[in-house]
Amino acid sequence: MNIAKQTLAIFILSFFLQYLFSYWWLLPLVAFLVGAGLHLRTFNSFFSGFLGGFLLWGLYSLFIDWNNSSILSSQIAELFGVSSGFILILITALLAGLVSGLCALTGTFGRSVITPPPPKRIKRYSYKR
Amino acid sequence: MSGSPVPALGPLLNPFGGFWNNAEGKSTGMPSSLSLPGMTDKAEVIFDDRLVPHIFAENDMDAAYVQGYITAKYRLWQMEFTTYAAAGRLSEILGDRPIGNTTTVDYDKQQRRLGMVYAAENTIEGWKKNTSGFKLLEKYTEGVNTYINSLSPSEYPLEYKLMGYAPEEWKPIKTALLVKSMAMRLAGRENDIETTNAFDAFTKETFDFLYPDWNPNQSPVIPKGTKWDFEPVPLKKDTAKQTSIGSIPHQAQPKPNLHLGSNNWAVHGSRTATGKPILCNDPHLMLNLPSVWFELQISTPEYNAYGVSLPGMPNIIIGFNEYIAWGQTNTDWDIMDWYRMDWTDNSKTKYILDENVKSVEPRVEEIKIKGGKIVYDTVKYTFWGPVVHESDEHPKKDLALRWVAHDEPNSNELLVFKQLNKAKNYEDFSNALKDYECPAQNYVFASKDGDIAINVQGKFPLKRPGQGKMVEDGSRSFNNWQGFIPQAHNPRIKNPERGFVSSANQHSTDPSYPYYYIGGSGFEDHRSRYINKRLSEMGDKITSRQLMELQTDNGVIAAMDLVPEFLKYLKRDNLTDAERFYLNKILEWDFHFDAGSIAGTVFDEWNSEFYKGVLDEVYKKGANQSFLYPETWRLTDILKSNPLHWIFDNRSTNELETAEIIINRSFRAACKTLEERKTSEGEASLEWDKVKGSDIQHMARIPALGVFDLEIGGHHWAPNAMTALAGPSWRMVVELGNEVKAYGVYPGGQSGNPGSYYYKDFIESWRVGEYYPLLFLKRDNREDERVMQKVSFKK
Repeated sequence: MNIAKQTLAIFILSFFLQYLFSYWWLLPLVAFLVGAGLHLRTFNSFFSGFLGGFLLWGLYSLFIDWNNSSILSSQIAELFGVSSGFILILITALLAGLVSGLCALTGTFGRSVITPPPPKRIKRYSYKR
Repeated sequence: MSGSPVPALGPLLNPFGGFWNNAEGKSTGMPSSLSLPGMTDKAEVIFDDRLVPHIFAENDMDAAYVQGYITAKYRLWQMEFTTYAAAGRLSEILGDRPIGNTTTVDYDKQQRRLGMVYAAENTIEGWKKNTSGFKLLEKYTEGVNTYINSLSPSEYPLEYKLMGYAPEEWKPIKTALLVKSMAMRLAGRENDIETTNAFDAFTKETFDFLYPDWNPNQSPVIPKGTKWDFEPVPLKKDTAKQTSIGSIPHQAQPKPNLHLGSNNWAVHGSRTATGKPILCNDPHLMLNLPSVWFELQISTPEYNAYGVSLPGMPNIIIGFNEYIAWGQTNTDWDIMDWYRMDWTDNSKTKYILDENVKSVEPRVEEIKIKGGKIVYDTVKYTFWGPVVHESDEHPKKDLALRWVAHDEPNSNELLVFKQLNKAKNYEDFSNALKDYECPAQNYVFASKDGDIAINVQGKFPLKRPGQGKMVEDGSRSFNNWQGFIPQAHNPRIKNPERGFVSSANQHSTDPSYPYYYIGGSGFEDHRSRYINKRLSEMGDKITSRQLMELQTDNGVIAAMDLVPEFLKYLKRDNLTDAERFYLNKILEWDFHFDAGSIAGTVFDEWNSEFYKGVLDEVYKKGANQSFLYPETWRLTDILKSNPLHWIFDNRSTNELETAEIIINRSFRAACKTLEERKTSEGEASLEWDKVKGSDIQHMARIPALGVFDLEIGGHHWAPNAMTALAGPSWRMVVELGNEVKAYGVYPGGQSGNPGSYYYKDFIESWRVGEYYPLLFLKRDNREDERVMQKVSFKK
């Protein structure tokens, strides 16, 4: 649930801000702030940060590419030396995911400096009597 | 090395602002209405399905403003890059690094030395004196800047993002630089150094034999035998003793591509199916993406014109309106001469001119390199012009450049194209052109009234016979041009008996023209002879379709002349199987350099071997220096008239060679080369299009953004003058009449954005010789099924 919450928060906030202001660093900034705000555990924070960025840049570039019939991505792919425009979409998504994930992680670590770290989820064992 | 070429990944891959942002959908990318500060009245721009803008404005100022805005919208990067290159500012954008076979800094230095910026500055001084013309140019400039100022970095064209810089303000001097850049391409080719060295190497007799001025078989623009109706200006004769210049050790500066030229012709109504004239033009330029031309229509209450424009310059350059059509080809008048400087000492600050000592005017050129460094180069300006070729090893052979394009132009030059766009008949056309200076062109004309004409128009130096063909002595001001040919004496032809006018870069006249003007580069006139032959034989019901076929014709008359001669001497016994294969190709050949033609390749290789085999002495004398080589038509003539001439003998062998021996030897050598290629790469590698290798590269030479290995035929001596990097940059056919019917195509697309559907959508049609019917909307009828979007421009 928390993972879904963070993923969605990063996705929606970044989309909104980037749509208005373009700057690429808005994504890592949002990821950092959301990561600090929601204060998830290490793996969950990274993973949902990653997912948020990956999906945002990945889906948006996929949409652009579809609208453009891959005219530009095929040329830029050749420029980069990769085999297709789709690989380029993947690279875009992965880069965004990595940066976003790391920033969310940094955010939650930073938060842990001023707030106690989030507890591990208590597993409830069923007693057999 | 400064200025890393690899941009940062984050900003570049950002879908909201990086390169993804340049991946457009299939639309104009314009809103339905725009409110812009520079408009004085309203205007409407209608885009058709080829993204051609049709501008309907209420006055000339708004037309200029909107043209500036729209051209910037689709071609901003190209406009900037072209003018940066012309100004020698590539190092600012690209840093210091190799490009082509030079470096950015050396290229920039060369541009400054040639006086490109100096010429542009003089041009602006001249243009400013025409206040109404200059106001229009400023309005165009304002339109471009309105667009530039509306851009946020995420909206910059792709190349800015890839190369890491931002667009700067557009200024009128950039338009002047564009004009100078065209002048360098088209009027920047001469062979003075090469000719001087050849003259120094051979006896006068041999020199005259190898390099005659006139081809007796030529077909000049103004037909042979036409009488001149003026009294020529008398020239002062040279009474001083001529001292020989000797040879020139400098490497001639890089020349514009040899194959830049064009075709145009107009057929009189008495010979067309419609009874009205048909005009055709196909300019041959370097083929790049974005394309050199931008198609558009411009209309005000005064006129309605359609054609192609040059991004960075207002008005329509080649096109038509409701009354007339016009087009251009390049002329070969020599307007670029070199003068040897007579320095007083090795400091090269003072020089002798007519026994007086004069001081050089130094101009310090600042070449900024991306990353912060600045390189300085001092260019010495003299009575003649800038000293371009300078060397400490041979200080007595430094050369200054005298070029028509350096001079301040007539201020009316600014209004030439505006007036052409408005012209309604031959008189309007001639009046519009008379102040046009450089690059000199053959302007073809046809009107609804039924007139056809060609006016050879430019600012032409007044020269003594032979003057300027070689490097001249710069210590005598007498060697300067004695003024300029009066404009009324420029050659022209109107409604000739043969029923057509045509030009394909050949000499403008026969030798009877009273002024000396050749002495620039030769221009073998195979294309013009072929075109004139075909037009003469085309009958009296000529259609546009036939003329389109002529524009895309791959036939070469030089091959028609040479092949029978070669076959006459070729010994056919004892041929190997491979040689027989290649001979059969030639025997079956129709002399057309079509894409799949192997015969074309065979002839090209054979002729090349033959040329080298015959001219071995010339190659030997010309080794390690800039040298002149004889033209193919001359070799063909010698072959036909005297196959035992000493020229065929190869001095390095004991045998006394004749034409027959050379022809056979070169055939065998050619077959050997071809067979080697066939064995290692397959028979298909011998097809002409693969041998010729036509490419349309991106202007910044980014391979991923260009188009390579086009399957297209053509030859620089065929009407379809397609070569490796240059070719027909626009093909236009216009039928005059009550309703103008026009057809056109160019190898590119209206949008300069590689991410646009319209970046290169015309290339395939152009490649196969198809033309688009041009949509010529009326002011009072702007509807058509091809209309894609209407945009209103308001204050």
